[in-house]
Formats: sequence, C-alpha cells, structure tokens
Amino acid sequence: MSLYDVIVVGAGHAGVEACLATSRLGLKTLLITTNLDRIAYMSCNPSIGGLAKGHMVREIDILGGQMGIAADQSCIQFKRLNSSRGPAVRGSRAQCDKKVYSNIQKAALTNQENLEILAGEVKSLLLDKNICNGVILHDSSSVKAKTVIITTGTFMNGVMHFGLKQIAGGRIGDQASIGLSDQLLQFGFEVKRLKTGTPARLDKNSIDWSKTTAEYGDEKFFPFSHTSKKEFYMPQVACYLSNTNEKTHEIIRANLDKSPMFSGIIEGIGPRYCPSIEDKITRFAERVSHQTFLEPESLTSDLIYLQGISTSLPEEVQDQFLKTIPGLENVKVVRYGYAVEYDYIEPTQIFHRLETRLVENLFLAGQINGTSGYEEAAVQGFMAGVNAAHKILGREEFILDRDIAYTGVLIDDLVTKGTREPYRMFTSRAEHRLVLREDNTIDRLAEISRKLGIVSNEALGRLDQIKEKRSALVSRLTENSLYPKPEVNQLVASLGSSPLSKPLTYAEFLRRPEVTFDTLKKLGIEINDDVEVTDAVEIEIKYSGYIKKQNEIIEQTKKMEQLSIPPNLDFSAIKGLSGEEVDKLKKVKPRTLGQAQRISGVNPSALQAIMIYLKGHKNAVPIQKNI
Amino acid sequence: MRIRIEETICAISTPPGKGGIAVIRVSGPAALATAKKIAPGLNKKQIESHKAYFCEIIDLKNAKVDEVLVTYFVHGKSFTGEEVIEISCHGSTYITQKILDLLIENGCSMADRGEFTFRAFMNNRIDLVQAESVLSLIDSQNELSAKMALRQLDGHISKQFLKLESDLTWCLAHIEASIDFSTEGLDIIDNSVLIEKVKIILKEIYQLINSYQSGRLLKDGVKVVLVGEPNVGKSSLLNLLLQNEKAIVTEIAGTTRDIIEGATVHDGVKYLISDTAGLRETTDLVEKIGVDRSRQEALKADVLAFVLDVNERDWETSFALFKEVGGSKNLFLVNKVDQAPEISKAEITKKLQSYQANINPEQVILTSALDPKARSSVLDNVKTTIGSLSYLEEAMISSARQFEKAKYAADMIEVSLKELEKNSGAEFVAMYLKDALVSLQQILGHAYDDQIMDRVFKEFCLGK
Repeated sequence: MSLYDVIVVGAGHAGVEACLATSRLGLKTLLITTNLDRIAYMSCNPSIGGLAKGHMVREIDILGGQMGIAADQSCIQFKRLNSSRGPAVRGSRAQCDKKVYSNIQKAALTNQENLEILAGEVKSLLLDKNICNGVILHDSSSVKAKTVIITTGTFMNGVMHFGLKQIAGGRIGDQASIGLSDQLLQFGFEVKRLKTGTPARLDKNSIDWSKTTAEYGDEKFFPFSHTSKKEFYMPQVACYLSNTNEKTHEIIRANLDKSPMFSGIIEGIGPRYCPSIEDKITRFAERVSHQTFLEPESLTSDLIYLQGISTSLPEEVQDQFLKTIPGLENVKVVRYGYAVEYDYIEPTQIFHRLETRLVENLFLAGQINGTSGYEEAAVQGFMAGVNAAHKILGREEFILDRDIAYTGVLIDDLVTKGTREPYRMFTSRAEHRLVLREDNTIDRLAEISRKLGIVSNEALGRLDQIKEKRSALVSRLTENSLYPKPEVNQLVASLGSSPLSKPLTYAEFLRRPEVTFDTLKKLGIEINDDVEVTDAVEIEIKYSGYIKKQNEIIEQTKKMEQLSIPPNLDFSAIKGLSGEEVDKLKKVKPRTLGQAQRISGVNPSALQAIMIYLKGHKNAVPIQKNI
Repeated sequence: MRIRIEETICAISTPPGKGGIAVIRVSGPAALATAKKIAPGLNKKQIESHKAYFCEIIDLKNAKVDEVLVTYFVHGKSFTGEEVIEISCHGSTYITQKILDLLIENGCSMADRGEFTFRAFMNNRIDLVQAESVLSLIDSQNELSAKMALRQLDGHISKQFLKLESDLTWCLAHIEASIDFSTEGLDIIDNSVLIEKVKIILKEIYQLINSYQSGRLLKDGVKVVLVGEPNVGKSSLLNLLLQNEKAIVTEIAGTTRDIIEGATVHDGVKYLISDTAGLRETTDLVEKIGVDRSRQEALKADVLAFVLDVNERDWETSFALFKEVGGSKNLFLVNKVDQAPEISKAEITKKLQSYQANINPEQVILTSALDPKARSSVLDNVKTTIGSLSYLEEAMISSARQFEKAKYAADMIEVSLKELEKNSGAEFVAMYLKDALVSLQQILGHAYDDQIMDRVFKEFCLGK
C-alpha cells in the first residue's frame, strides 16, 4: 500500500498546479520542495501572460488551474497586447507583485485538502524495475506513492555562471539537485543541457527616473480567471523605458572574452527569442540601441527588474555598462545578472499524458521537459497532475487536441518534435490560431471541464449562463434587421458607413469592416455591456468568413488526425521507410498519421508508406514486442 | 502502388518488339547478386559502379542465352536510389523474355508500371514534379516536349517552386514576427513592402500557371479542328496536313460522318488534327449524329480552322455556323484556291470582313489540297495563333495536378493580398498565405514544417 497517491517534486509553477490538480481530484498528495520560502517563486521577469501564454493561463483556469487567480490578484499593471490587431492574436499580460503572487499560491496550497507539504530534497526515485513507486530523500528515508511527478525546473545539475566564475545551483540562493538526472541517465533517458539567463536587479532609489519614459497599463481589466472580480485587486503602477547606446555596446564588446557564452564554457543552448545583451549586440551589430523596461518586482520592495538586458558578464563589467544607460548613471545593483545551465529530458521520451515512456507512473512537467516560461510550466504541471490522477483512478488519459487549446499544441509539439532550445509558446505555433482565442476559451473548454470535475458546479453554472447569454445575443443579431429608412440611413452615414439599399440583419451589418458593437449601440440597438458576453459574439459574427475558412482547414487536417496508428506498431516492419525515419518513428511513437507528419525528418513518402501499410493490415498489425 | 522495397524488381525498359538491342533494368537489394547468378562470368570480375561488363547469360540448363553488356550502379547512386543492374541484350522478343524469366526464376519480381520512378520518389531521389516529368519524358513524341520534360527532370521547375516557397516563407516570417513580437521593439516591415513582395510572388506564380497552357500543348499536342459546311474540302485538308490518306474524299457532300483524327509533327511541335462532318441541317439520322459530334469537337479545339470554299458566292450560311461554334482562336482556311487563281488574298480578306469585321489578314490562309506548301503554311499559322509556344526558355508546368495546386496557391495569395490592402488582421493574412504555402509544398511533395519560426529567429533581433 502506498502512503500517498501522488508525490510532486518541486514547488515552482508546474509543481503548484500539479499538486493542486491531484488533491482537488481527491487524491492524497505530497508536495516536496527544498525551500518553503520559494513556493511559486517568479525567478525571472515579474509578469504572467503575454501572447499565447495568456491564452494558456485562461485555458487551465477554465479547467480548474490556479495560475490565473494568483495573476489577477497580484496584478500591478495590466495590458491587452496587440489590441489593435486581429482578434485571435490579442493576449493579456499582467505585471505582478512577485511577493503577493507567491503568497497567494502558498495560501492556496496550505488551505488545500488532501495536500501535505514537506521541506526536503529528493535524492532519487524509488523504482521497482521500470515502475516508479516513490522517492528517496536526502536522509535516505523513502516515501512511497502510486505516481511521482517531477517538476524540478532548472535545478537538475544546475550551474550558475557569473562571468567566468561558476557556482552550483539552479537559482541564486538555492542549491542544485544532483543525482536525479544521473539516475535518469542510467535508466536510459536522453538527458541534454539548456541555458537561460536573467538580468540584474536594481535598487529603485538609485535610479534617476526623470531620464526614463513612463509606460502605463490599460484602464480596462480582463481578468485571467473566470472566478476573479472585474476590477483591479491592487493599485496599478507604471513601468519605465530606457535604452542602451553605443557606449554600452562598446563596453560589452570589449569584455566579450569574459562572457562564459562566448568563451565556450557554456555548452547548453539558450533561447533564441530571449538572447542576452551580449548576444544581441554581436548578432545585430548594426543596431546602435536596444530598449529596456525597468519593472517593479513588488510594491513592497525596492527591487527593479531590468527587462531585456539578461547577461552573464562579470559583476564589474555589469556595473560599468549599466551606468551608461540613461537613468542608471548612479545605479546600485542589488543582484547581478547571471546565466544558468541545467539538465532537461528530451521530451520525445514522454507520452502526451506526460508520463515517461521508460518508467511507468513517472510524470515530468515544466522546464525539465525543455520549456521556458512560467505559463508553459504551469499548464504542463496541471496536465501532468490530471493525468497522474486519471491513471490512479483508472480514467482515460486527458489530452487536449491542437485545435482545442494552446496547451494541446504545446504538449504535442514537445512529445512529437522534441526541442533543442528552451521552448516558448507563440501564437504562430498553433496552425489553427483563429479558433484558439482568449474570448472563446469558455466555448472550447467548459464542457471538457465539466467532465474533468475540478471546477465547482456553481462556477460551471455561471459559465453556462455566459454561453446562454451569448447565444441569445447571436439570435437577436441574426433575427432582427435594419431597414433602409431615411432616418436609419442618415444615422448610418453619420457613423461613417454607406447607406443601406436593402434590409440587413444586425449581424450582416456588423460584418461591414467599419461597423462595431459601438456603432450598433449608437443606432439604438440594445447590446449588453458584459464583455464576457459581447467580445466572443462580436468576433464570431464579424470575422465569421475567416473563421469558416479556418474550420475548413481544420476539417482537412482532421482526416490525418483521425487515422490512428496502433500504439505498438512495429515501424521497422513497414517497407519504404528509411532507417532514420524508422528510428524517429520508434522514438516518438505517433498516435496518429497527423502526428507522424509533424515529426521533422519524416518525409511525405514515409507517410504514404505507413498509410498503405495500415490499409493492407487492417486486422492484423504486427506489434513490436518489448517497448 | 505496392511498397515492397525489400524485393528486387525487373522489367524490359525498351519498347516491346524487335530492335537492335533491348535493355532490362533490375533494381533492389539483390540486383547484382541475381545478375551474377544468371551471368556467372561476372563473378570473376571486380565490379565497379557505373561501368559496363561484357558477359554471357546462361540458362538453368547451362546453355548460353545471349552475349550482353551489364552495367552496375551502386546503391545510392542510381536513378532509383537502390542497387541497379542494366542488361543490354540483343533486341529479340524471345531473348528479352528469356532473360526476364531467368531473373524471375532467381527471385526477382516483375516491376509494376512506373515502379522504378516510384521507388526513386520513395527514396527521395526526386520530388513529385520530377517524378511526373519522367513519365512525360517517356511519353514525349516530339523534340520540344522532350526538352521540356528534361528541364523538369533537371529540377528546373522544382527550383521555381522552391523559390516561391522561400519567398512566401519570408513574408510569413515577417507577419508572424509582427504578431508574436509586437511588444519587443522590432523593426517590423511596412505593409506596403509586404504588398509589393506578395505582388511579385503572384506575378511569378501566374507565369508558371500560364505556362501550363503551353506546357500542356507541348506535351499533348495542339488540337486543331477543321469545321465548315459540307463539301468545302475539309477531309482533303486533313489528308494533306497528316500527309496520308486517312479520310475518304469524294465529291459527295456529307461523306464524313464521324470525327477522324490524326497526329502529325511539324517543326518540333505535335498537332492533333480532327476532321468533322460538315455542319448543315439534315434529316439523315447518322449524319445528324455526326453533325452534333462536330459541334462538340469544335469546343475542344485549341485552334479552330474554319474551312470555306472560295468558289461559293455567298458565305452567309457559313458565317451563321461560325457564330455558333467559333472559339477564341480561329483561322479561316479559304480552300480550293487552285480553282480560282484570279482572286487575291486581299479581296478574299475583304469579303470575309464583310461578314465579320474583326477578322485580320493573319487569320486568313489560302489553301488548296493540291498545293504541297499549304501544310506548312497552315501549321505555321496555327503555331503563331497559339503564340506562347516559344516559352520554352522559361520553366513550364505540364501536369494538371501541378496546375491545380499552383492555381489554388495563387487564389489564396490573391485573397491575402486583398486582406493586406484592407489592412485587416495579420493573422488573417497569415492564414491564407499559409494555405497557399501548403499547396505549393504539395506540388513538390514537401511537408510543412517549422521553417517559418526558423526564419523569424534568423532575421530578427528579439528579446523579451
């Protein structure tokens, strides 16, 4: 008998969601973390959300995740990005008070039934052949559980680089976890190395703010969580913009030999979309300036985060170049920037349910799978938690398709393609972007959430009401018409639209590019003011042509997604596949032909071969023995 | 097509029938081993790739079948990408069949039609466009279409599609960057630059699409349909153009009842000429069916050759017919000029113009079945009318599949251009462009992959 149903190792953004999901599903859960003061800690930038990332936060919120709640309550500046662009690529971002954020999450854990928290370090996994049934702690005591979820972030064999100086650790002030990755390596896992970096933290009192430009957030708040209030929880503050210049770049250039990146000490691959300042000035030598935002880390601390200037140069060089940036002439650095190198598990070694292929009952989530970002970590943590619980409860695995959620895109990308650099979600990674919008999260996921059973019936009832109000509004707009009466046309013309020549339903009228709900209101058409209701309806109607086209494309690709490949198919028995293709297919074990298509290096001719093979062996597919 | 890469396949690669020599091709893992079994002399030799070896083929009873040349192509360096043997033997049907039998008795399988090319595609030796060109090359019956197919096999057209693919990817990379990195202070290119770029892509893709017409004509031949009233000499002209007595010619109006078709090559271009029943109102059931068929045939013409009798005083009826069946490309063959030597072309043209004002002199040809020069003057005129066959220096597409995919891509690019000009959401533009890109990639048999993000990272300075 196991003492626990689930053990979650690590209390970062993935670990928090994982243990909350399992305990909310009624399973006895133990969370083990090395440092109780760093629960749900924002190790790098002080913000949650952004394009595609914000979408994911909303997705797990509808399903019963926690991140959106904490982001809403700790938000000190809110922005809807791309609000002037098309509706599918608007994304919410909240600057958060780091301290408040962590405290909210800690409180959620403490108040959670079925959940215990243990301060300790996991040395290794407790294994029975290839089945994981617990962990061994640093004092050699063991704790048993039916499933184990590892969310150790950048801590596996973490090494921090300050110039040419190196210190073991996954984050400043915390130890690295040694041993776990060696054990996984011994077990046959492919373990690789990645790198990430963080900028310096500055003392707010040493900055000359007059030389920077203040940037304020939006006045309107669209909370991430369906359970949040529609007003700000905290006072809203500004961020400040400044720029590097030629002098900054000269100093950096002159000291490149002291950078661990450029002297070849760091082997891990860093994120291309988040390069260090050293990287930026080398790769884009023609640029004379790079922007940087000075962002407060908390309303109750003096720390300022210097966004865009991540660096691993030695401390004295950082002091020197920072002082060339307007406003920072007399800056006091509280903590210097550094780079971290860490181990990750090549994610093609896990199933969509985030359980490893090699060790049963072992789940991985977060940066250990090669991702970057709090949101990417959180949604994996949530999905791993749900799947670990489902496994114990004997329920079906919980997988979101690529046309249902960014979360599904993220996990499918990881397990299908693997990753060579820290993986960040972008809207362009979703081929069906137009149907994965912030405004239609409820439509996409409310029913799935009901089946999942984490969100309360009361909250679900409220979501149903929103959906009902939406469909009532749609009916009203499609059933009622504007008539080409002189007084109507006069009003229409005064609002900048061409006069009607025949009756138009409100919906048809709304499809005119220059017409919005505001125009309809001015024509005296009653539209309620609840954006939760109106946003989705306006977009669905106004952009229906594009959405229809997107759905057609989805239908086409569905055909490939519906051709399922038996889980134990022996690819080496299929004629016409190259050795390389067989290796890749064996490694990834695609569930469908559609997934096989997304594996890089698997040619269309190979898909043809698999398709022909499956047709020819409808009833008897040879099955690979020892998987 | 079956997939049986582990099997070694063989087939006679030269056309059936007698010939000086014939070539048998063997492809697959056991190609050389099988060759050594039926030509034991090879065992004594050091066999090198791309070299030919003289040896004897021996049957199961140890009797000599033929003296042959065996050429060996090592795995990875052959047309199919597999180990290949080519046996050049004497071209008797008996010998080729005998060698084929021996190969099969020693474990080879008979190749399906097109299987060698299919294997080349499966082994990534050629893309789909090239695979199609192999078939066109084999089927080519004239110089220009052979040249065209060779250029395609060369990858000439694949390169054009690859360039379009790369240009589209560039546009998409910029659009995606403008969406996903809108907050990062990037130097995002202006919509007007994108619009210009997309217009250039459109122009290039239309060039390819338009080449399909010529490409198809070169490959399949230019279809010329002779139509006109009964007894104006259409069948005589057909015989003249085909240079044989294919159609029955009599003085009796209505002799030709059905479509008579033949092919001829002139100046490197293939022409398909059809003769039709003379168009007139008739009660004869058989002739009536023939007349209906003539109308149908006229619709299929690349060039419609309208035949008139120079001796006929009044062309009123003829032109009534012309108005009914005339196509976009028409020639007027005024026939039997040997019987009216006094009339000049200028007069005839004037007379034609009195019925149809927009006829220009280039469309008018004076013909006579007795004049041997009439053939080249008609066919030269047909070629001029088609106009675009000199396109050959450009890449041309010749398969309907390529045409349809390219056309779809062009349609989607048109839509995205409109969206760009309307300045609607970048994600809408991207959706249509991506759809176009997938269509282009399908032409070559390439899959869609992550190249857009790679381009983004290459081109932009990003930092969160």
